[in-house]
Amino acid sequence: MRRTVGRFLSALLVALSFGSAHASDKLKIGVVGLTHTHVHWIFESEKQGQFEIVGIVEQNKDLAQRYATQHNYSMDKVYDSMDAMFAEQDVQAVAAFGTIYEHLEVVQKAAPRGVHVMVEKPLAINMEHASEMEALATKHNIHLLTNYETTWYPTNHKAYEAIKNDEVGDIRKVIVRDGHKGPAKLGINSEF
Amino acid sequence: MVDFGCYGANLMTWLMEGKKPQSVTAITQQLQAENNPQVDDESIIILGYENANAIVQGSWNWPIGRKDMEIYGETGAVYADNRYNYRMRIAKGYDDFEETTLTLPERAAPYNDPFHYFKALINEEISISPYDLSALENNMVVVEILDAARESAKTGKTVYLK
Repeated sequence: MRRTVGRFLSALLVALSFGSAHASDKLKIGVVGLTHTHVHWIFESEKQGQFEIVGIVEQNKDLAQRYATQHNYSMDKVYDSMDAMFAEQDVQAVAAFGTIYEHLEVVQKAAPRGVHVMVEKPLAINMEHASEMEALATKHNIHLLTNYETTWYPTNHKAYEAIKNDEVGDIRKVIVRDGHKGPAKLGINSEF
Repeated sequence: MVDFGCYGANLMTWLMEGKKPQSVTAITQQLQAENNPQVDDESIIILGYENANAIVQGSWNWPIGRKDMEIYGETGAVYADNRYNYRMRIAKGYDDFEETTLTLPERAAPYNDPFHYFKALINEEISISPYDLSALENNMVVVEILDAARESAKTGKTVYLK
């Protein structure tokens, strides 16, 4: 009950402060890894002023410098490790853009600190990693989200509504096709 | 298969409200050995549900990039052709249909951007259901499907999920 009241009050405070552009309203996000090319998305999204990227963990300094030039951030906030970033910055949430194999380590470091995690799809490399991540997220009561580009497509939500509103009857068959001509033909960066 | 098969597993788990498929059958191929020497670049995963099936085609061999979904119901079909273009066909007679075509606007904030959504969730302005696209429960099923698909492709056999 006390928890519910606390949640209500914090939601109310958020609601009251929502829309005012105080720097303190911004969610403090750490970016872990820059190798996934979807990482450009978070730098573009940051420009809307809702959150602040307070630290970036990337050992490849050439890559970090290239993106620093492109997205205009200071190399001072690029760290060699998650430990180093957490030691210096007050991070509320992290977005993982490293390899899928590294997602487990991100949750191992972030969850005990109460830091929420969003990883790029898919959640984990296998069920062994996924189960450990799930246990950590539950134990430390953090959000552990998986980000897919198609989650934000208006068309997929319209299709979902059509099914739930029974516009074409019960589902019998679904075909999902994704991909491209391949990283080599697309000239995607070598780090990927 | 992991890079692009996951989209279909995620969408299907959402549509099925968290229900797992009963069976997973997959093949993988390497069609561009010169470009992708370390990995398979082609995959087809067939998911069997009690009264439905899904075919998930994740590939690095399309000539044109794509992220789309077709859902066939008992009386018609809906097509999410890309982010904005949507069609619905209602069946008439043998092969005829009535088609509605829509171009959709972006979703309202915070449902139009992953990081704004993440923030709204942390601040408890919105809530998440276990089988929402971003949710942990949904994505545990996705990983289970991908593990089964990898096993199926390796052994050449259908994997039945418990």
